[in-house]
Parts: sequence; C-alpha cells; structure tokens
Amino acid sequence: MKILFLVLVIALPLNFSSRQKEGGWRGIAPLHSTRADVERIFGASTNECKCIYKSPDATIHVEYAIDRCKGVIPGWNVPGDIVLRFTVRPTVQQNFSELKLEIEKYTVRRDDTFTTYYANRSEGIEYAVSSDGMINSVSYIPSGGDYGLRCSGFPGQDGSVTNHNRFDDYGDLDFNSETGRLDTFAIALDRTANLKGYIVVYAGKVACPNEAGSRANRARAYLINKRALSPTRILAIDGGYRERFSVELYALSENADPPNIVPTIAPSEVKIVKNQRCN
Amino acid sequence: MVDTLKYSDCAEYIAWLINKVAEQTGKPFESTDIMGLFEKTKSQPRGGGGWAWGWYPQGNAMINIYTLSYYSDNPRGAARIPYAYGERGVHEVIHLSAKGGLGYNEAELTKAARALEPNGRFIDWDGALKNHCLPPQFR
Repeated sequence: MKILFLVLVIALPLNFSSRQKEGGWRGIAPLHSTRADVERIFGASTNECKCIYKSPDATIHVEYAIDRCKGVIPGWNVPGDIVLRFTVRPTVQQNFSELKLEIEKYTVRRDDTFTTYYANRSEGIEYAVSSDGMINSVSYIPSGGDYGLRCSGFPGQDGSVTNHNRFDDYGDLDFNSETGRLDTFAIALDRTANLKGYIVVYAGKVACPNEAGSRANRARAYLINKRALSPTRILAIDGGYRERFSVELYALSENADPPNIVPTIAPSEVKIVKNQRCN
Repeated sequence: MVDTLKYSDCAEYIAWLINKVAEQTGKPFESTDIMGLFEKTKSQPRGGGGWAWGWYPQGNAMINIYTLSYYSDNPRGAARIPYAYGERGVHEVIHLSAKGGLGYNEAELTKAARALEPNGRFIDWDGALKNHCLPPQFR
C-alpha cells in the first residue's frame, strides 16, 4: 500500500489551485511561517544557502527575511527567518492551461527566455510558465491581505512581482556619461510613437536633499529639451532610496501600468548630506 | 563578447553562476564555456543575432540582440554600445547553458546570483553580471 501511495504522489502533478493557496501551500504562508515551520515539514536544508528543500514531488526554494524590513523582498515588518517568498518547482510538470485560471485577474510579463509570469498579488501567487506551456515553478508571495505589515517609508506594493522589463539601468554616472544612456533611450522612444518613457531614480544610502527627484527631472529635461521628445511622453519618478544610487529606464506602451517602485531602504536609514556632489 | 569575458573575473563568475543555477534548479548545464556555446548557437541552422530560445539537439538554439543607437552629436552614447552588446550576448548565451539549450530563466538566475552573493547590491542577476563583466563606467 505504501508503495502504491508513493507511486501516486510521484505520478500526479501538484495541485496549484488558488483554493489550496488560501491557507498557504502545505501549511507554509509568506510573512507568517517561520524557518522552523518549513523544516518541520521538509526537514533541514542541506544546501549551502539553507534555503532549498526537497520533497518527493517538488523542490522548494525559500527566501527568508534577514531582519525587520530587510530581505530579498524589502519592506516587510517581520523578524528574521520568517518566510518572505517561496518557489515550488514540481518534479512532474503540469500544463498551465489545465489550471483554468481567470487570466484577466493576473498581470502577465514575459522574460527574454519566453518564460511567461502570471502574477496575482491579491492571492499572493505567481506562475512561471515555459514556452511550451508547462508550469516551470510557482512562487508564493505576500498577499493583498498582508499589506498592514508593510514597514513605514515603503510603498504598499513590494518588489515580489516585476511588472515590466527594464530598457536600461545604471548607477551614479556623471551627467555627460548619462546623456549617452539617455540618447539610446530617446531613439527607442522616438522610433515607436505609442511608447511612454519612465525614468525612475533611487537615491543612495547617503544622499543629497531631494536627490532622486532632481536627478529624474534633470534626465527628463534632457530628453525633452535636447532630444525633442514630447513632455507628455516622459515621466520622472522619485523611487525613494536604495543602498546605492540607481536609475531605471522603462519604455512602455501608453496604456501600461507604471513600473513598480521598489526602494530597498527606509528614509529613516538615509543620511542626507550637502556637499559638492549635490551641486 | 570575448572582451567582455576577459574583464576581471567575468568568465570565472559565469562558471560559478551556471553551476549554482544548475544545482538550485536540478537542471544540468550544457557547458560553462560561453564562447563555445556561442559558436554552437551560431552554427545552428536557424541561428541569428535581446532574447534566447531553442535547443541544441533540435538545431534551433538562437539568441537575438536588439540594436542600440546613438546620436552622432554625442560620442558618449557610442562608446558604451560595444560593451552593452558584449554583455547582452553573454547574458543571452547563459540562458542557453542548460543541458540541451534553453533552460535557465530570469527568475532562476536571479536566485542563483543571490545565493552566490547574498550581500551583493543588485536587483537581479543582470546587475550581478554587469558588476563582474563590465567596467564601472559602462555598467
């Protein structure tokens, strides 16, 4: 009987229906389960990262909080070793269409390997589907009901779902070098009339006053004044703060949602300075 | 791409990354030799020149690199483009480094890059790749 049961477990695809998700997956829920909870179910991880677990029917990759507001998905007010996100890779792959999901409730993004990601933030789930239509993995992410756990200074939406692919990104370049990047961006926008350009700037851990906003506006002004792009097509966004200054450029269709803003540190952790770099 | 791979520890880092993503996903790799894989991709019957797709046994593995442009009145744009092409080529070939061809997607490689450098200050694996493979002014 035991043998028959094992065969059934191995042969049947995992059930990834939303109903199962409501109580987490096999009792694990992002922002609520601990490392001890995970290890009670799957045993201790023997992997170097202490984050990969094996079961007969799946490999589970768990990403834990490092501390309050810290971790691979920043801004969640939970202590270290709480599950932030986990990804289940089934041993037996299932066809995505068999789930019969209401696709209109999902944001859809495709990466450069033709893997399509279907994400539903309110349910806290994201499917990665290979180009052949098979489910590659399922990620369980913080769900809509948990937004009360966001740390102060972080936007409501976290970075667990990437909604758009970036056109380019760069760090703290001098303005002359930055114009080279902006030129490439401008030409791409110029070639396709219905694209809108987003400039998202994150100031670093040591920042000038209003640095992100002023750098985003400077880049926007360059695209408008030097490269003659229409002001209505270029948006400048102050993204908040990250460990290091960074700029992200997006070229999106006019009716697309704006890119997700994903700061990684709270304003309270930032040192504001006034020095030569700020001029 | 050859120059990109020669920069700093780029080639060595890529070998670590491919080993790590293979370990984490359970999907074995084809090779960690990016130029060898690139030659293999070029010799595919329908090869071409940012996305990656296809499988070596089927003879349809290919990468596509989008063109980047610059204005003639600003040489700053032109200076970076060879580096950007080199990095993008390496990026796409890494996607094809799984056994048989296409196998490692963006999410899987980002997890592998984070496992290799838990304190690395990058948002995704492409940021890590740039840190290892491009001079600072072109990242």
